Amino acid sequence: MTLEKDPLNLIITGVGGQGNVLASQIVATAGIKDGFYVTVGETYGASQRGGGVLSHVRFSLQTQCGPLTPEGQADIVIGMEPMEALRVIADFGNPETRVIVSPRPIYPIWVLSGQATYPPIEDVLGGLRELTGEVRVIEPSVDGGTPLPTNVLMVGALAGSGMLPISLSSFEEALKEIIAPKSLELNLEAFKKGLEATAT
Amino acid sequence: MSVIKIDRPGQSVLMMGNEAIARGAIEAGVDFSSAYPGTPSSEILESLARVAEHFGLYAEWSVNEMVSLEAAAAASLTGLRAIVAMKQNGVNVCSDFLMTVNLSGTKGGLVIVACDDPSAISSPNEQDSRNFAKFADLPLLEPATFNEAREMTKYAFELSERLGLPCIIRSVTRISHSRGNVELGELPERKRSPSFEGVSIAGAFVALQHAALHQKLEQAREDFENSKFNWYVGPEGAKFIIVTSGTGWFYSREAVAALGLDSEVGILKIGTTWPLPEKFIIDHLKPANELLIVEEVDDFLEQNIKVLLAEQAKTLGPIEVYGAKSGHLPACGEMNQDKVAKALATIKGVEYSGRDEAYAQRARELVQPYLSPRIPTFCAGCPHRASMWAIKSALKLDGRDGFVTGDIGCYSMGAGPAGYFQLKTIHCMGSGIGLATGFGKLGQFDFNRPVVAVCGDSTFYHAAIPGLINARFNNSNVLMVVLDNAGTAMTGFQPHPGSGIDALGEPAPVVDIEGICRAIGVPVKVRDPFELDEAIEELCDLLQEDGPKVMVFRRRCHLAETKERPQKKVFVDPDKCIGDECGCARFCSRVFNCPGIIWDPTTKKARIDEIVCTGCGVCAYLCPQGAIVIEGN
Amino acid sequence: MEAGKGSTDLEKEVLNAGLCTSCGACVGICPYIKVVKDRVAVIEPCGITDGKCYDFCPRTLTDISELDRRIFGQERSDSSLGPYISIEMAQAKDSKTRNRGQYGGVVSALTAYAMSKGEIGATVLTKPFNESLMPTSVLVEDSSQVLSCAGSNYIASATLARLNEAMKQQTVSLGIVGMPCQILALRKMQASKHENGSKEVKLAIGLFCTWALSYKSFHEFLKGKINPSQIKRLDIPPPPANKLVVVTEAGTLEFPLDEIREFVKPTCGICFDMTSEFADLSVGMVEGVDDWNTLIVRTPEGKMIIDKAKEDGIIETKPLPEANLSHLREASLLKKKRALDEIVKRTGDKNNLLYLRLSDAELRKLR
Repeated sequence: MTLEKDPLNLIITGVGGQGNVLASQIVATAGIKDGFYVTVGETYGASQRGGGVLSHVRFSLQTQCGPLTPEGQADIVIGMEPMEALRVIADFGNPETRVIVSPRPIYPIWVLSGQATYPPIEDVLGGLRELTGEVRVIEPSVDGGTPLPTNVLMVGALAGSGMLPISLSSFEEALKEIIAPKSLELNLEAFKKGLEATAT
Repeated sequence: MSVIKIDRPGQSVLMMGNEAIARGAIEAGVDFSSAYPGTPSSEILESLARVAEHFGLYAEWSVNEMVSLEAAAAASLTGLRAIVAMKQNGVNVCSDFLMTVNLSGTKGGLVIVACDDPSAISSPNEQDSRNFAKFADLPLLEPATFNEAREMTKYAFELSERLGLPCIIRSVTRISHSRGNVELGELPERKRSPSFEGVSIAGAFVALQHAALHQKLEQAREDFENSKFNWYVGPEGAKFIIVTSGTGWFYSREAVAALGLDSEVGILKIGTTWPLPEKFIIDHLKPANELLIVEEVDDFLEQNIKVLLAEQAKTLGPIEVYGAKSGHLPACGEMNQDKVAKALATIKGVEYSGRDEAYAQRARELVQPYLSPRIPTFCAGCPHRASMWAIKSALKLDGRDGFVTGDIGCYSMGAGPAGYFQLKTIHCMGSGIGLATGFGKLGQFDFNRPVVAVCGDSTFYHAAIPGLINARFNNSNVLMVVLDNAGTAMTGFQPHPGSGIDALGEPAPVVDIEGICRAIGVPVKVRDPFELDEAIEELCDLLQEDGPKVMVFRRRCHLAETKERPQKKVFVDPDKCIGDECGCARFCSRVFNCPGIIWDPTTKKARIDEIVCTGCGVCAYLCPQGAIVIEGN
Repeated sequence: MEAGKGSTDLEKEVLNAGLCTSCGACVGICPYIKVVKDRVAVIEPCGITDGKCYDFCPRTLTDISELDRRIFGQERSDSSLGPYISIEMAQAKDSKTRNRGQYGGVVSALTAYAMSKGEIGATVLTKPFNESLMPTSVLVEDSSQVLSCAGSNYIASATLARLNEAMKQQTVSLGIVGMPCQILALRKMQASKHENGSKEVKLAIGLFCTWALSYKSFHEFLKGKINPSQIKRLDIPPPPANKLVVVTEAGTLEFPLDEIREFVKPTCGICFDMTSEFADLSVGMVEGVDDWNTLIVRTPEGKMIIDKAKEDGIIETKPLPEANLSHLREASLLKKKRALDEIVKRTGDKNNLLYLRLSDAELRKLR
């Protein structure tokens, strides 16, 4: 068990209601199962829609880290919303940061109320590509049926990417512990979908 | 399954700081727990209430922090172990009792958890509750990690019992609300049985008790000299030492590492911050000639260390102290690694930047066009939005330049655009009606502007009743509007005396708000704020009456409501929507500002965001064209 | 036509200047302007710079000659009573209607008749008392309900707000009974470049009015003297009585008019119109005759209804005695002259007549 960098800083970002907290809990629980010290800190924008949520998930083999990632020190960013991902990079990114991002925008309140426009998605992704070392765009599943939860899908993508040295079995155990039984099946499907999207 | 229930000693699990504190209490065999909800403290009692039945402990949401502490102290006085949790403002509320229960002393372990909110992320103020420990001569512990939160809580019960004094644990948002590794300890077997012999402190005896209290505190200091919560890391004989407590430990260690100063800077981490373990500190500071004090909010540690240095000047010699006073670290707001690193870099004269400045500049440039200020707003379907509009309308129609005094709750956002800037004051729980009783008595000085005091239902029970009684007793011209959404919504909808359920979710008697008002002798009306026209007219009528009067705007928090009931579908009929034209001018999306309503700039029509909309339907009532339709109506 | 103005201007020039008549023309159009009792307020600026509210208001610039031409096809020749076809005395033939109504019951009788004949599908009326001192406006859709709205209340109420609401849904032609300021506002609505449904108003019956009371001060005055929920009827008998008669379930009270006058709305002092000069039909009392009304027929539409009603035995008419007619002229003219004096007193400029625009010829006659 090794870490390429200690601490290894992961930031999961999205907007309120997307299930950031759950995603970070799954990743952190999996990390602890594999023997890491894991710290999760959360910072919020405004409540409800349009407010960004950041979960800092920090892994170490030596010690318990603080709950906030220092400026420019994000190693991996999971963006459940493209603009929020770019925002996180502006504060925490560096040229080596790796990004897994959903290209599906969720319009903030000032866009919805007609006071501003959302930039073209390609511009946002272009910004991410310019500023970071690697950008993987994960299209949330759209092939009919019940929509899959984006948060767990992105966790699956993270697991499949190999960016984190956490075993697949620990991810799956964590999912089973944390997700309520009635929605477990759907979430496992989402996890698998994400996994397949990045596993090479 | 509740994580704090797991009986697998030695296993490391992910826990939130507040859960770790609750787990520590369980491991200490806590019998009694009470709290009034307040961010960032609420999950402590929530966690305990969830396992109360399992462990046979008692858990209650109390009406306020004062009663909460008193109730917990009662359990302690019978020899039971009790814990009480509160946010910083709660410490102020219970401080009157705190300043005597320290003298009377306690019996079973009594632990007071004060959760401070640096930067006031979810609070009306920023304060450092550690000052209360010094003020009340009580022992103080500050956890620096999640596991330490668990361990310290367990230890706090033992210490409290040994000293016969309440013990204060000071947590902060980044401990309480963050998650990390917690190593599970043993779950206890023992059951205590209560007995009560009586305590009395009065008159001249108080002075004796005060002296005894100081002795107890000395005992605590001796205990702290060998505490496992205090440690030093770093090179032996370091000339530069960071003295820190709480979250400062995380930030200091990471800052030292980031600057590569491990070999020359030592860190002295203190977990027992009042009374200070003086010998332990002096021993470790002997080689140092420079100190940096890292802590969160006030310069509590800094000042106490400085006193110690002055006392020990002969032993320690001259030592330069950096921190808040020197300006190297801010004296308020949240601490973080970057702030500590910058301070350290300045003092040590080394370069520090988190990343390349050109890169940071470019990153900001790319994001800048899309950065709009985030406007905090009421949730979709929130009854407060309608209540604020009703109050604004009534005051405008009244035409005497009336204004609103605010209180603490979701509706505090009424001071901003969410509530059309209606609230002109926000202080502490109950202060809305208190201030209003004063404004309402200024007529003899020719100040005749009508005053409306708003408060939530939970706030009403907590602290607003005496203000209302005062308004009645002194016949103050006040309109009190109780925004009753049937729970303590801001902190996660915990039950209160009006909810009909207790902390465990069991049925409980309802304390009737109107009944209280009537008993006080104040006329009271009840109205659904979604019936806007009627609500506005009734407010206008009430404003015309002399003396105190109450309007209860009653509608359940829509977040709670939609969890239990399927929501109605609401949509816009584009043929009827007139958008920007006279007769509407985008009232729903531009003025009423519910996040569930979208303005579509291409079609120039309003649209309902189905994901956000909770189906409350108030916009259908407000739409002048009848263009917003509730399915099934 | 001036450049448009909106709710912000309305608030500044009318509401804050104490000129609002509480007619309700600006209420019920949009969510920004509300009325409670007789108090109208702009709750929030809407940002519209050319608004209906400003355009409809009877206290924003009103060109009398232009309205005359529009409604009557020519400018007035009678400076005191405005354009008319005939002036007579009239009364309802049905004694029940006479008893319920004020004076001769002509308004109730004509309204019910026009509805029953299908000339209008519904009428906006004002119930004088509804459990309180404050009148309430209602949309009456059945002629049998007309009588419940009979009788006077001297407090201004936002009748046109009800009309605005009715126009949003109503598909039938409408009637309205209103005070002079309300009829004026209605005509401004019908003349407005802003689309609205007021062209569906086919019968406008205007009442005579010398002034209206402000709810708040009158309510306070009556407090402790009368329980407002018991009021059955208010009346100001013709001079020289000089009193307000309040009939309640518990008995009748009288108040000297001089005590009441201080509660008159300040805007009534600048009102130019006593006899609802822009109505189809104007109805008021006849001095010294209890159960007859003065009836001024002003438009062909008004004349047609009167002729039919007479034919069908709903009302009867007889000539108005010359003495009464000249009294009416004097009273109306006096109101106009007082209004002009008061306006000039307020503006301090004899060329600034606030909301009024009169032709030079008209102005010379009045001065």
